Amino acid sequence: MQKINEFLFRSVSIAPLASFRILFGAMLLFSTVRFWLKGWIDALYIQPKFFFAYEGFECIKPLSGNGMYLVFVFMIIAAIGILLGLFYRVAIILFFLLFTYVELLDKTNYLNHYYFVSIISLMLCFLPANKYAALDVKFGITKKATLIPFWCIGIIQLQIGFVYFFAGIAKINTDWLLHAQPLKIWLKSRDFFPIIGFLFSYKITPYIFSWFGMLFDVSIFFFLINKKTRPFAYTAVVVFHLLTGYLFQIGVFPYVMIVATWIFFSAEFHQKFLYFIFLDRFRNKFGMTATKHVGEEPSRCHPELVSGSNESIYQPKSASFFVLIFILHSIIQIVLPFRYLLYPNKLFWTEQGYRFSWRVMLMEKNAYTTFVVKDKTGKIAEVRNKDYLTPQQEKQMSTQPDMILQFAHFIAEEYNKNKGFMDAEVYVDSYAALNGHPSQPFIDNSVDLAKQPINFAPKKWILPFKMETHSSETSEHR
Amino acid sequence: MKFNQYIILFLSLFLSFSCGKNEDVDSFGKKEMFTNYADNLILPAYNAYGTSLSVLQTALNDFKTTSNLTTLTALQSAFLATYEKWQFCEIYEKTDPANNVMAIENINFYPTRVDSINAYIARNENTTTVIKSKNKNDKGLPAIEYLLFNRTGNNQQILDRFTTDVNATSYKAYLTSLIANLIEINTTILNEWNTSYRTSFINNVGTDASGSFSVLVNSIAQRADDLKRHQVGIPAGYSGNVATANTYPSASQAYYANKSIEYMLLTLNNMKDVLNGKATTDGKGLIDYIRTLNVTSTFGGNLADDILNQIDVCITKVNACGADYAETITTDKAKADDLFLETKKLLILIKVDVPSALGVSITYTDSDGD
Repeated sequence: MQKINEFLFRSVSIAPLASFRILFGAMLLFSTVRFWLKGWIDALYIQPKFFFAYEGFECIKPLSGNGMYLVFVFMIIAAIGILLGLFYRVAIILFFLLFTYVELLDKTNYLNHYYFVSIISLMLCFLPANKYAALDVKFGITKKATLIPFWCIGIIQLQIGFVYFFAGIAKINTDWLLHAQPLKIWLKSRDFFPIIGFLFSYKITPYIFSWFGMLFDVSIFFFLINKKTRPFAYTAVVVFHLLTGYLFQIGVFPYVMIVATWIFFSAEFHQKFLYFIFLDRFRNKFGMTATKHVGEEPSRCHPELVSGSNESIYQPKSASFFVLIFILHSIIQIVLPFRYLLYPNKLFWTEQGYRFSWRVMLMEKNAYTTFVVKDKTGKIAEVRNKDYLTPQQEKQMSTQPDMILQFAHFIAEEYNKNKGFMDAEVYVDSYAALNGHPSQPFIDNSVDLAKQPINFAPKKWILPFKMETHSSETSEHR
Repeated sequence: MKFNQYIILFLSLFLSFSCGKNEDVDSFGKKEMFTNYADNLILPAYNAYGTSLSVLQTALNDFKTTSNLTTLTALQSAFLATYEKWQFCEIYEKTDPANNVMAIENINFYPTRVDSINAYIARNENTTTVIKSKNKNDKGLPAIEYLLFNRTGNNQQILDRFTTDVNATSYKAYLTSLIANLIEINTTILNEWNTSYRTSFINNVGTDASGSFSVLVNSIAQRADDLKRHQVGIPAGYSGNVATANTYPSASQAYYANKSIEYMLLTLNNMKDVLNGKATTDGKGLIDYIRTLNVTSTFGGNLADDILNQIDVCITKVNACGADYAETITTDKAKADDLFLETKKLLILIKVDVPSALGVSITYTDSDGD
């Protein structure tokens, strides 16, 4: 216990946290502006007539008129605040709330890296990231600190570790390792890419990528915390993410991770980095001393050893409370990816317990899902999904049972209210194909989904996934 | 294994590949395939349809100059030739040039609204500007078909519409505007293909939302969907995939000219040719590409073969329906039900299994994944 305490509460240089704050803020600024410029505020939050709420968050609705643009204006301002360390506490809390609000609006837009950004922003609300290399110090909004307890940095490193480790664990399945799916499909379709495209015509390539990806994800955290392997590990992180970013349409995710893993570098390294990005004349403005400050080795940084020097130590009064919260958070992070074990049937098929578990790029799933509404008076109609859903919503909905159910409920209500149906029943006919397996019936079309409850109980109306008896690899062409 | 070794291993694997082979980018010849589509299938289809539209225009002029049964018959056959040629174009409805002008809504949406067409004609709302603004149910090939044909085959009645009817002039004007509208739309489609779209279609060989794989697969899937829904399902009383107690024989495509069965066969045979990339000669097509992927279909066979087989099954079922689909629905609906079931299977193969095998995006929106 004593050892753990010493480990968590030992003083370390604030430099990694401060430089993380700057890069993270810059990344938030970039991705928020990019989101706006792509026209997605309108496409994702203004155009849709219906939103797929997260269970329990049904009250969260988009703002009308230009409200959503206003949300993004404030997010951009907040990101600048984070970047500069100006009114940092307000900025980061505002950013966390607005960003999480936007993400909670519609399941359609769920992406693991958005979830990651939400978690890190929440953590940063409690961390003293503005006590160095920040305008808050210059303006006396907060007191400068050069040393902080290790847990302030460790918690972010641990969270990044969770992301990679569970992404790696999720890849340990037969589709990924034994059949190299979905990479086999995805890489093959990119064999015209310059320079590396020709690799994807080889049968072995997707297997190498799959196994390397799994090993990378499972082990990278350990190589990043080890000082000796760190430079190689970070190079691998950069290469890995740039490569996936080049190959797949995954937006800012590679940059989020390249920025985030920056925090693993040593205090000395970050100190140099901060001196590098702040020109001499700006250093004072950001509350940094004019002389070069070298980070301490853990062994030399016990508070009693540095007290009396020119170091200023940050020790929050409620530190134990924060640490307790972070430990609880970590337990949740460890448990959440395994909640799928509570559900029958294949996880990728039912997607019950799929989200919030760092399952990244694991599925190529397509479905054709149609809805028919009936009532007791004999009325019957086929629903034109696109009358109510955007193409992106329809695509996401058609492969995810919880969204199919939500849409069925919406349809029942719509037809009762506006189309003169009495107690409408909604039946779904759906066929799906997953990871190179042939298509098969997805949803039990004899079940009235309007009467099925929206909750976390196992969804019995999802038909069981059947493995085909024929192998797709009977003959070789290469 | 030590980390350094593992990086070295990876890099050396990478390098050994790089040194091994370098010329074999796009081993299948995707550009060649899309060139085949553009130059040997798509453009010729629109051009042939365009030519038949000009012939139709001439026949219309002749009919307007001398309105008798001979010129009417000539006009009718010119129209049927045009409608037939359109069956070869409709499968490209999700390529940008067709999608931009909403080809289906403007060219071939049925059943046409007989009552409202008659009302417009009676009210003298018949200029090209008016036609453009009209609902999809009031224009296009089905509207012309309604004006030129009836189920009894009594051509004198048709001729009377344009000669002795109180609204004869308005009938002629409406017909003229309908044809002018179609010519204008096709000119727009062809212009876009010839100016810029052809190049981007051929070069955009990716599988992302705007890539030609997505565009073509989506387009063919939409065609299979329309075959199942509009050509086969709705007339037989299907609501989605559910059979209802009602039937709507007059909602069949080309109901008045009684060409439903013929056009279903054209649709299916053309779909097979398009998948094969087969024009006057057999070029590279999607099926050839799918065959290189060597994937199993939901039927357990090779996906490429199973799709072609399923098209043949559908053709057999269409033939079993006899010569008049509307009549089959009334007298022997089980045959229509059989056909519906098989077109649905075909649709699932094309709409679910094919995108899955190709990794193509089935939507058009540009968005991030993870």
